[in-house]
Amino acid sequence: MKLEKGVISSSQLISLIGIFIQGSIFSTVFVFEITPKDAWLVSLTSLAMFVPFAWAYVKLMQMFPGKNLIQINDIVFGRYLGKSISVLYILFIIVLAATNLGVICDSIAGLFMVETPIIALAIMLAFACAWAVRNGIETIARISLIFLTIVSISVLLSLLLIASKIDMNNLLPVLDISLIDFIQVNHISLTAFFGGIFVFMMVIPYMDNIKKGTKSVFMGLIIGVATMLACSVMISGVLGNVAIIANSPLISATRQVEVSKVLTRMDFIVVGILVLSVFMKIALIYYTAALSISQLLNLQTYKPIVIPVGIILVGLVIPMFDNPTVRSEIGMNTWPFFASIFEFLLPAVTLLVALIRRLPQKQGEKC
Amino acid sequence: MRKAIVIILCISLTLNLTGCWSQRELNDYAVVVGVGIDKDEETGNILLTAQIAKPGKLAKDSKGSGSNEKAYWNISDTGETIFSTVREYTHESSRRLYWQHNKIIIFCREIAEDGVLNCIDYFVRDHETRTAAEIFVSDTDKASDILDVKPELEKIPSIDIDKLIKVQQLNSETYSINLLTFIQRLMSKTTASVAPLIKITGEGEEQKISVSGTAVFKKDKLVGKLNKPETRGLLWVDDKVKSGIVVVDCPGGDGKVDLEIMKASSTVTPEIENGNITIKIKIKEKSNLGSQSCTEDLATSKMLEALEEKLASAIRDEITASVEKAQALNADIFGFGEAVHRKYRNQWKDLESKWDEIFPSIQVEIKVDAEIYGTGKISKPAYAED
Repeated sequence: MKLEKGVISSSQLISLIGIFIQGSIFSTVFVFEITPKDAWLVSLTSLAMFVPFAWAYVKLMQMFPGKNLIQINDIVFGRYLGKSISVLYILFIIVLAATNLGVICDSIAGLFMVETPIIALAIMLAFACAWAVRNGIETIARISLIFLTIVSISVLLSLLLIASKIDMNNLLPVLDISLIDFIQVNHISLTAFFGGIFVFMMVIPYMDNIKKGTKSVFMGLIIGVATMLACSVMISGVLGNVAIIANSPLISATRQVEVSKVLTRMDFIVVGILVLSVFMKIALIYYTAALSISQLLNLQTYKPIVIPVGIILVGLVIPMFDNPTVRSEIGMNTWPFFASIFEFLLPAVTLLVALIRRLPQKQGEKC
Repeated sequence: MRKAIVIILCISLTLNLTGCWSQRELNDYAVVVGVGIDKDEETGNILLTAQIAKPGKLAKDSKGSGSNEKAYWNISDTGETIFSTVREYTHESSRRLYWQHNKIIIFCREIAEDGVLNCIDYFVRDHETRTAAEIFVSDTDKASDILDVKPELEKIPSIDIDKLIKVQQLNSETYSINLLTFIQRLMSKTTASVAPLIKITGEGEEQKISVSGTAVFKKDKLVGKLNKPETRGLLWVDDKVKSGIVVVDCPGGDGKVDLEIMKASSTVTPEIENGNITIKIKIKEKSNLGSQSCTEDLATSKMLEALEEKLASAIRDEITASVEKAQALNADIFGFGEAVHRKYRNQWKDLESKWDEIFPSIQVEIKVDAEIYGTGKISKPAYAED
């Protein structure tokens, strides 16, 4: 029995992963707080560090074709341990979705709609995501291509409009940062931007040709990182050391656009990027959460789970963090270690155990 | 039943489309176009003057002539902090102040000498303010008086001042700086901030606004001033000269030659040798012969060469003057520290803490490559040769 009847192509996986990474552009504020100059470098080094993990995710998927993460946990760790690990995964995925929802709502409420309660924004966005999730992975994959194009073009456009204000001296000297800080900032970047890719272990099984998975994942990563790189250069170049104090560096940077007194105040472009890409990111995590829960409970379909999960997400947005300052402290100091467990440690252990136990066993054997 | 629910849901959702959560109409806003910050003499508090545009008075009446009434309203209030003073205005203004279109921020001298940090935070932090506002320092007059000088060409003083600073690049004798660049310099550990000086000239009806010279900050406190040539020296080094006139003596003697700067660029390269820091400034400049008041024919290769030499030494003098002034004030307005940081990042750790002792004695080598290209519509002067 298959929970998800949709099938996605390898090119759709590229755009899904691309927009997923683009959805993290707004979290780059953590990186700028530590290194306003080398943010562009960090996106490259942390991508390089992420490559083995991405390979591990896809390898795991290819070892158990058609099986998703929850099913693999059952196979690899056995019934009871597998189920308990799955529960932990699900809790983490829900926290991940709620955190992302909180970030976008806080950004919009902090910069534009100051008097609007965050919960109102959260409900609207969660509702839109729930709608997308109910339509299945095929629909999400199809809109992801459209959104990926829009976001990429918007980033290029804002880069073009602001090119005259970019001062490359703000990026020099390269690597003007202590080793400890560099490791920390890479860890943050790995867990906050790339690590979330692990949710694709619930999506990749529904590819029509899983052999192309590796290539698609890396293509998607490259597209996402290219966008992130463009944004980092733009922010560092325009804002310089002010990037350290800006709560939303990308918006502060695009506010500087001034082309012959006519094209000014282009931050709406950025808000467009913000809403589209983060919507896709939340929708994907949300979808994964709904799918994992129904897989764990052996349901026929994941659709009845969607609304309850949405309500949990909205309910978590407010109580999870007292205020954005607390969230950014946790995001910088606690989250990287917390998220590493699920994003890197557990998948690696799963792969290792599967290899040691020589799984999957041949057909006919009991598993 | 299901249909009814769907219809009710649709209708209730359309109510959201108006986006009327915290909606405000344009006529509920008082659009702030400029702000001046003075020190209240009695209490020592901040005296904040906000200039509010009156859009109704900007429009021409039916006869086609503009009304003679003031198109702006200056509202002043005192308070201990900026934001509390801004909200203090609600006692006098029936409309809520709207900061998105604020063009200029003027600090009076007393505030600048005490430090601008406590005044500037609001303008960077608040979600409604923009960092594109131009910064000024008023040396002799109160900021509130400057905002009250009725301009001849514009209807609103702030907009006039904003255009005034933009047109300064034709002469390159004023360093215009917006809020973002200002705080970038404030946040730098070594680079000192600067801001153009603004003052009132003339008396009574003849009052005019004049922008010239530069205020130099150390950290966030005003420490000194640059005059016009020194300011241009700073602009040369900072690669901000767009246009302008350099006046040199005629090679033959009596009379002057005006050379119009067409293009200029600069590179600043620090060198460290045996622990001594030398800053090498290289200026490449291209200008046209703008006018001459002597009778010689300057449009010969020999004469142009002689002129180029004079031009180069004039530029060198301006830069030297500004470097000497900055070293006397011990304020690194050129960002030499950052330049050293970029090139010698390993040595920078030791240098950074003692930059204040190093900067006044730094060696500066200036190399100017000046070129005179065009001679305008004519070559020889309109003068009958003997």
